[in-house]
Amino acid sequence: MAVNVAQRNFFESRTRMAVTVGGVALAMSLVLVLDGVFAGAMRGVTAYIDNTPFDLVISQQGVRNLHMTSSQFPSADLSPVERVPGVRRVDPILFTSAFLVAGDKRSLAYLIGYEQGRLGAPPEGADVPKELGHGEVVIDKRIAVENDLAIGDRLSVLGKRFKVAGFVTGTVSITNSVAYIRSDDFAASTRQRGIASFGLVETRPGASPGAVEARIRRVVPDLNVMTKSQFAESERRVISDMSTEIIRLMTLVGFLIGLSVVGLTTYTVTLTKLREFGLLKALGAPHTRLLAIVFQQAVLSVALGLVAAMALTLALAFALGAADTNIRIAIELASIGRLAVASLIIAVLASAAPMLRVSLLEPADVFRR
Amino acid sequence: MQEALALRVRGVVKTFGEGPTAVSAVKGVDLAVRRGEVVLIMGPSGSGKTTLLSIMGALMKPTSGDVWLGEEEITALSETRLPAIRLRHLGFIFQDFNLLSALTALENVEIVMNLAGGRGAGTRRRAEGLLSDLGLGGRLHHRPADLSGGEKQRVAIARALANEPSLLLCDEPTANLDSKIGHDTVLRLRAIADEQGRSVVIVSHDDRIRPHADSVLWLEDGELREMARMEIDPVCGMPIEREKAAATLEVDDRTYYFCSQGCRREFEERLAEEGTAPRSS
Repeated sequence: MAVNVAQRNFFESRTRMAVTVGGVALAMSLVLVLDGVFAGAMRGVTAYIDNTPFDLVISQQGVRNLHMTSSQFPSADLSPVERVPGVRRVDPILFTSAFLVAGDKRSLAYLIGYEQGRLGAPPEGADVPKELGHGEVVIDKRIAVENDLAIGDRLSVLGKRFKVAGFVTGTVSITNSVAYIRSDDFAASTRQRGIASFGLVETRPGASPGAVEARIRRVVPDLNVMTKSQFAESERRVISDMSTEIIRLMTLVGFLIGLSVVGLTTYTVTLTKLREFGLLKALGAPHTRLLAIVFQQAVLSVALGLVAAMALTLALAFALGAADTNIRIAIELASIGRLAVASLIIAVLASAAPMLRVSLLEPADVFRR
Repeated sequence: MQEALALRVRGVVKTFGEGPTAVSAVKGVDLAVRRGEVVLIMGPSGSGKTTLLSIMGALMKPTSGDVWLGEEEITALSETRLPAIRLRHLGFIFQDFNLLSALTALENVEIVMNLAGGRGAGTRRRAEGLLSDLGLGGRLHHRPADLSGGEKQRVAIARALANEPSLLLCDEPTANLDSKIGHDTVLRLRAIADEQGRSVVIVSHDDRIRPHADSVLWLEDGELREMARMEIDPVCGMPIEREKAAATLEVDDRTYYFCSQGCRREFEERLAEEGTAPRSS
């Protein structure tokens, strides 16, 4: 083992190390938390798609997601799909974005009209009735809490009064939640008969969804067919496109703060050690070795900062979860990966100026007093 | 005879700047250092000692002239090859010790071995051995801040010896040490030359080193002179060339040389107080 000068320099002053790691960790936490909050909200965005069992979705041509769209086609168009090889069943659902109005409180929801016992129904759970009666609605539990609604309370949907009959969880997102009513109530409220918004397709075991999708396209060429994952991805993209600018801006702020902290600290550490770098140069240390020491110091700052940032964010996520707030922080591997890459970029940028100073050192200066 | 020399400096000139503002720090210096020899270079501040030391240490290229380390002409080498020469053939000892503050005494020695490719337990044992030989066996894991001046200088000596150099270049090695520790340091350097056959070049103002040097040189205004032709003014202590002395005085068959008439007058007053009569000159 060789003596690790970078490590020794970095840990020489515990106060300086704590300030560096703390500063970097705070900046990176900002990025991780923002990313996590966004990811948490995005999970809610596709809650209906993720929690509903189907393999393919059929929609009006040009409609590729739920958010801010309207899809309508004759429900009879789905009949030939049932006979497509590989299709086990296909069920229509009705869909629109609607306000749930309770007193003077309004919250936006994806309103799903489903047929009893068929695809598209709310996921089974303790708070979900086995059969939904006429005039009954299932809403997200968090929306119920926010609006002081309990089972049996009433709220307005599509201009009609509905009784709260059950609760689902985990559907609240950055944009809305999900609510369920019977499809005949939905049709009655919108005065649309014989219309489907989407067709949900379950494939037979062993059938390739991609192959089935292609067959369905041939049967209903005027409709759009997508796999479940494509549908979810399309939904996520629409929402993220709407929120990307602010998230990017905040991420950039976090990145710049992190860069400033690491840059300033690496520069300061290098300046305080400039004479020692000059000494090493005079003694015969190769130029690359000296640059490696500077870079390694910067990497140590960001690596420890990253670990501390992850710990901080996890603690915050846990605390928010325990506090039962609307904010959910979902820490995703991709987010950590992105931050790790950003950290490496920060380390490279932050060590550039100190490296230049070290490069310009004259070894003969070692004799200067 | 060239192969017997550890260092040879021929007609070295170093000029800083160009045109009318050019300053010559070293003017045509010739110097030969034999293996195992201790050479002391003295001179006033600004005389070019540090510049000459930097040139001998392959830290600075001369404007003209050449420097040979053993049989290798280091002034002919490219900049990229010089670090390896410094690392493997030269040892440096500084007035301010110049230890790495974050490293222990042991690591300060080991790092130089690492730079030369040394790794592992063998390297560590050798570094421990060097420090123990210098009486620092119990201070291996202390950082410089926890060491005395004398201990720091011994760590610096161990570091200078780490890669077994043929030549040690010492810049005012006793300046920051008290007289006893300074004397010990000079004795150690003398012993290194005698016992290990390494050559030692010392740049210093410290007159106490003179008795331990094989050769004493005087550098003034960038020019090197044999100290044998130099005399010390008995009043102010300034070394002066016999031929350039401002005044002389013969007392009891001995000639005293002075840098100024003022020093001579002061010397005469002292003699008068003691009752000694000088011969006029």
